[in-house]
Amino acid sequence: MSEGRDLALDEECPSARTVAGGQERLQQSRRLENLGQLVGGAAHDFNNLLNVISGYADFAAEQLTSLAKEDDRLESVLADVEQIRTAAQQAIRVTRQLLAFSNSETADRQVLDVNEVVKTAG
Amino acid sequence: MEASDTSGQQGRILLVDDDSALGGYLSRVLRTGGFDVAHELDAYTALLRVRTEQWDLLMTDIELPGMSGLELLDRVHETVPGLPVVVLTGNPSVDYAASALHGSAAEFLSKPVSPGDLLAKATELIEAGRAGAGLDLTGSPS
Repeated sequence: MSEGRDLALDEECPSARTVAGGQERLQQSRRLENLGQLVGGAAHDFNNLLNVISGYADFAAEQLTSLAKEDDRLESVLADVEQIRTAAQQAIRVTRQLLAFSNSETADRQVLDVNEVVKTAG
Repeated sequence: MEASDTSGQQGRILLVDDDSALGGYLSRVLRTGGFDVAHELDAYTALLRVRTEQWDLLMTDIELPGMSGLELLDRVHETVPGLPVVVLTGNPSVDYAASALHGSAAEFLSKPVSPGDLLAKATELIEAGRAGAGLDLTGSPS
């Protein structure tokens, strides 16, 4: 019975299946856009935190490099801090890839020098 | 409010960022450059301090709870028109640029910002602000 109705609908309105397919693709596109925004927001926050971690590790390494010249025991501490810096930089690269992914999903963006844009607009 | 280092000789900077970890780190970077830095987590408190204290530079994030950084920019310039401002943003879009232009933002810096860029920009804008306003006029509240 229902199969008969579908056939009848297709005969009366041949584009019905095309419209349904288009709606499905639109929903899929919206889901991907939402996912991109979610990933982008999280990656942005992680990126800021990782830069804080990396920045403080830089401060610590700078001081330890100076202090290690007078105390050999600090050499191993400095090596540990260098591992933190290296890991943080790797994590920053990963989050930048996530940001690039989210940007490509949410909008067609390009790198701009915002200060230049402002000056040009003025 | 977080404690400020009063030994800074390069100038007084008011930093506004609701991310306490990032704000604390940026404050630390600026202090290594000899600046006296105070860090506030919201725009309302920052606006009060702009109105009651002297500053050489305001650095503000855009996304803040309550009043945004761009609204703070507008209101600060009503009170202290010559105060240099740096807008920090993790989303440097043209819309933001246009809004900040309307509010006469001095400069944008995209987060994360390198320590070298942060110190260079702070030094440049404070020197330019002093040169423009005269040696003794450094963002005095009206």
